[in-house]
Amino acid sequence: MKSLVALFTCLAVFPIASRADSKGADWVVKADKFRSPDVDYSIKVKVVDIDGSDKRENIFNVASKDNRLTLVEQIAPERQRGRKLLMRDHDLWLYSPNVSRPTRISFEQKLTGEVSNGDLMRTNFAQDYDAKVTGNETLPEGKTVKLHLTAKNKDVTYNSIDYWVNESNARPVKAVFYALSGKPLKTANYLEFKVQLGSPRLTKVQITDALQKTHQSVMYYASFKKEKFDDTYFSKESLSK
Amino acid sequence: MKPKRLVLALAVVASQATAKLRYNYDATADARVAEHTGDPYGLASERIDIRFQQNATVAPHWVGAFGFSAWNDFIYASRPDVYDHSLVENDSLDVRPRNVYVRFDANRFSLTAGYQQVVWGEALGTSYADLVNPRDYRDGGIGDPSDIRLQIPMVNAKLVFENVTIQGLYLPQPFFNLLPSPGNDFAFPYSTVLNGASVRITRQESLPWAASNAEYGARLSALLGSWDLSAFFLNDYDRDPSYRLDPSTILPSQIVVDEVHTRVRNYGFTLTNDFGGFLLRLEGVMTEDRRFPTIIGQTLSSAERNNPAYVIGLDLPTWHGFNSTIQWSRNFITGDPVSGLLRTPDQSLLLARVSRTLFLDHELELIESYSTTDRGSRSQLNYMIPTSKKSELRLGGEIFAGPFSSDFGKIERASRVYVLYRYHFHG
Repeated sequence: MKSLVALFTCLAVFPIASRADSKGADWVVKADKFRSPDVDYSIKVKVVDIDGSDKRENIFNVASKDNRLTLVEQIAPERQRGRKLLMRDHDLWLYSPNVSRPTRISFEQKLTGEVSNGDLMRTNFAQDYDAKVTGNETLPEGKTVKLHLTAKNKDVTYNSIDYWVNESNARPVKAVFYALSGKPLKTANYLEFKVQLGSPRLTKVQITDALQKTHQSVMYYASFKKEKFDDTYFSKESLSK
Repeated sequence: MKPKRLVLALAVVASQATAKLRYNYDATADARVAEHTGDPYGLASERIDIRFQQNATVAPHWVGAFGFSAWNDFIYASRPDVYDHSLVENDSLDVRPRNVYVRFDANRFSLTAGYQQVVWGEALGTSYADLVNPRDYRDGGIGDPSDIRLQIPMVNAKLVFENVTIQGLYLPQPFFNLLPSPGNDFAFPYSTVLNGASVRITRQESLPWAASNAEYGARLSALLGSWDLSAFFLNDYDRDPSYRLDPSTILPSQIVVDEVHTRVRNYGFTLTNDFGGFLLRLEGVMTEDRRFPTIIGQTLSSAERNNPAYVIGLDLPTWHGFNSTIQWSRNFITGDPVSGLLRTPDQSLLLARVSRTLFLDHELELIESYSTTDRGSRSQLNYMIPTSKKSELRLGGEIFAGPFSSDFGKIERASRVYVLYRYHFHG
């Protein structure tokens, strides 16, 4: 029995040890700083869904604490107004005014267009993925370090990610997100950075469907504010207020 | 001044007097037309809905809300060939308060007094834990769940900690489900069961505001790791009626019955957990001392029994953008068998739901329900097309099928397709 436990332990630990390295993790931590401030904050996110010549706009208020508690409230368009998403660690609830109750959902469900819940709710790759440097590539944005990110557990949005980080300043440049089957789902291009809360922050991301290239969503981040939230603000029971 | 009027007045004053500080309003207007898919052919509904809501905040502790909802279905007046004239009076018009309350928020504690809805549980359709507010079934359950629930006056206190919430409810006046009147497509086919007799039901919408009629309940919910748990009880009057024969009855041709609601006790729990994309939902409720109406020949009576019910649901991982849920529920009556029950004594329902948000916010939803006990079924389709930032078009259908002995089969004539246009206002 003991040998069986030891065998299981080896099988469980070995792949993690082989797929992660400390250099990869360092790059991801540095790149994450551009994607989310390390203080409690609120921002406004505009998502523009583009399908050929057709465009739709969704606007969300996002509040985040400790990178583990996030509350998203939709404020536009008016027909979607009042919809809320609450994230507590890896658990997610949707509150919709026409149902008037919080309902537990998964991260991979789509929020709008090409944007999954996890794209808006979890912006800290270092917490969710193991990283390994797989090479260096020169893209139009400059020299990059290419990383392969593997999900630490099944609760995250994507099974794996190819992630390109600028070699000179650690800014995220591009990511390709993969399903469990290994099939590419979508590509994110990190396009603009502006000084917000004292440091350069990511302010524009373009997400493109892997199969239908005309399906795109562009996310704009604005109105960064440092906040102080009580934990009860992120309570499931507070969603119906 | 009666307490109910005092709460209404306070809510109106709070929502208006504080308007200079921070306030907003939301409103929606719907127009819906439905067409029968079988006999009786032709229009099934011509309905208009309006909802208005104004909230005002006296930052940071006090919130006042004032709103109302109103609807009118013109079909009963416009189709005298199909519908009895009594439906014009009973099932065609409604105006009532919607979120009329005053709320005090102080960090972890909140107290809300007034017309509101409290929702427990999160199962689809048959959420047995969602038992606080009565419902309006006169339209057969088509529409948003928050519109089907009737908002009633109550005091709702919550104490919220990081992972635990304690909630207490006090409902000073019982209100009851509004069931479709005889002749409504969604009504139990009394006339058929009672050999063609004319049936009239006197509705009991509420009991008087009195200490002896008060209802009360509590709920404890907790997040333990990824387990989302709650336990609750509610001591209330049964939202569904039993019946007694009215003295004005002239047997066998003219039957008049009065709705009666008796006190029951409900104990229940809910549980959800996410197993890596497989989301489990479990809910159970035991209702003690519920009275079930019976008909034997033309004798109307009722039997008192305990009524356990539970739902097990599983959301499957998203597949090619499709979200799917399968759910099994059972609702049965304990004790000795009861003769002449108006319902199936042991109801088991298998439900499958598939939904997908398509590109540019189109939404598709299909729900199929099948009763494994009486072989009745209900098929529902909803397709939402955004037509602008403020408006949407909804296309849908609800088809009932099964033998006449089944609960769904009895209302097969209610099967319909519909078109709904909704406009949103905000300011």
